[in-house]
Amino acid sequence: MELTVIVALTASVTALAHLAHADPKRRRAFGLPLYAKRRRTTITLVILLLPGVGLLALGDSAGFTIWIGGLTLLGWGIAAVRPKRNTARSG
Amino acid sequence: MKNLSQIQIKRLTTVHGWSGTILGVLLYAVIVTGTIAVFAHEIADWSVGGTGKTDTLSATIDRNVRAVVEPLPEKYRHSIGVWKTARSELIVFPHFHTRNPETGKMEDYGPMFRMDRGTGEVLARHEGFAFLNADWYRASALENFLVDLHVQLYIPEPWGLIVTGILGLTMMAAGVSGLVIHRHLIRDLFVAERSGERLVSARDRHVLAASWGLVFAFLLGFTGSFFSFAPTITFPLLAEVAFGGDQEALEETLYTPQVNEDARPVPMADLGQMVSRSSATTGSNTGYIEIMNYGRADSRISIWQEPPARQLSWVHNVFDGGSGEFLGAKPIVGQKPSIGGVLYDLMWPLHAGDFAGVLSKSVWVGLGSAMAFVVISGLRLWVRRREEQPLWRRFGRVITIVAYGLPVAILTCAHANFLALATGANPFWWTPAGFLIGFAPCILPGLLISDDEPLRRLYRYLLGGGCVLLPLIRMATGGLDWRAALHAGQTTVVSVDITLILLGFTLIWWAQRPRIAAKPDPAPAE
Repeated sequence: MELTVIVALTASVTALAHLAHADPKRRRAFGLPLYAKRRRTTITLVILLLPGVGLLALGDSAGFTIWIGGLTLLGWGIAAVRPKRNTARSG
Repeated sequence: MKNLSQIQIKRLTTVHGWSGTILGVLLYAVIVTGTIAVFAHEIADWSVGGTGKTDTLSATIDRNVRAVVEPLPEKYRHSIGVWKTARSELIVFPHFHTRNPETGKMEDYGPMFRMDRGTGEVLARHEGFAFLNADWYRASALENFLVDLHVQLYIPEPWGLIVTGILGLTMMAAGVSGLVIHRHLIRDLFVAERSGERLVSARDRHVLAASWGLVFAFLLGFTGSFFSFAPTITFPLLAEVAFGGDQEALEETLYTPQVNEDARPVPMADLGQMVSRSSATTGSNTGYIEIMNYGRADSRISIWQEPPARQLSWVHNVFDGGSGEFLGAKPIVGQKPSIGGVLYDLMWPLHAGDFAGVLSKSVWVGLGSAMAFVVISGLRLWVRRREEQPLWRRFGRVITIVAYGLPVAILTCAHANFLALATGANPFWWTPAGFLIGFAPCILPGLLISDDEPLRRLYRYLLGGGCVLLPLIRMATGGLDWRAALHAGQTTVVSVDITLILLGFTLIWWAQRPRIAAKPDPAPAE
């Protein structure tokens, strides 16, 4: 179960990191230019939520609960880190 | 939410802030102790480490239970609780329910045996209302204190539970009111704290943590309130309404397997085999056993198994005590599966994260820490908005003292626990005493040091030093060293030691880190 949850969390956190990187208000608040490429919000949200749906479909209620708790923590962690200007501009 | 006027929002902000100000410090205490208590079992194993962990519960249980129960009079055989302590000893508690003249409540009365599981030797025998004496049935004074502090803040029953129940409701109410006040939850979900130590930075810090933790704040607050109010209000009320005040009848209806009365004497089947069968059927460890009507034809054995792989809830397996036949799994509450029963089953795992070992517990510790951060950052934000007033500045100082002082006092009580064990003093007395003693090094610097930054550094040094010293104190006072622990298969002892040392050095590094004055970010967010 542990491995399944870690894989699910990794996929979802990657999607969250992209959402944070391209988030317009975050970029505005830190004086960064708007994200230049397409944000692809819908597909990113699908990647974000699909692992949770998958865990539920597998009947892994414990895994789903760990996934959603872990996502809460890691999401906060990603959002709390201030963007670096030079890397953010390259987006 | 858009329908709320500015005045309504302002009122709600006032309610949100004042409720947090009045109850926030207590709520922080409940959250911090609860966060630590998530690992209560591991802390118990670690703090009493020194006796070898042996096999599963089934190996010698039948012989040990028979040896102490069969010589007892019939009245004690109505109900027998059996479980294993953190020291890997067996507790056998044959009892009946009777009114305690001191408390006026129906409680469990009987002899409680503490036994060596290997040899079957009775190490201690106490008789009385056993659950009023934690040292009879718990091996770790540290576990007992931390859990008690979390559950009822060391306030006498029932008031402690009522207070923590109200705090749980406050947590839920703060979550809901915060959601209404902060109308841009989704839009601000990725806005990090803006630098510059401005008011907006304090606001960002609180809002960001609260937004991400909103669902779990509600969940932990609700489940916590449930556990606080269930024994103090809900069940007594239910017993009054549905069972004419007979709480015992309520408990039998909800929790006990139904069986037609048959008092014919019958020899008991092998308990060890039933425990093995129960573990094999469920695929998880046995947590607790209850034998009903020992030695009678209507005997039933209830065996509670930890949640099986990929599941959240405990499993209650029932056996016929005479034949040893497996009768099936019974819902934890009620006799038939129901939505209410499922929700009831979910309360404990969702509150304590106790369903998938260290992984789920680690996530729950993280969530608890996030909740503690939300409370403290909210209190700081409230004070920051009023810092021109001396009274609020002093309250800000109180927040700093409590925020750091509580963990320092918890560390001190752990030190006191080990020193008491080494000197032969009663750890069940010295552990809470150590907690109170620990408050002195927390309050004094708060009164003597006027600047906040050096004060926080000192607290971080105290916390870091306390964490690093704790494993050394444990070993110096007779606890297992790492080699012996690993040899005995007690990886928990080594894991907790390493975690404390890493945490301690991180705190010392944090205390030493020079403070860099951040420049304000160029653009306002709103």
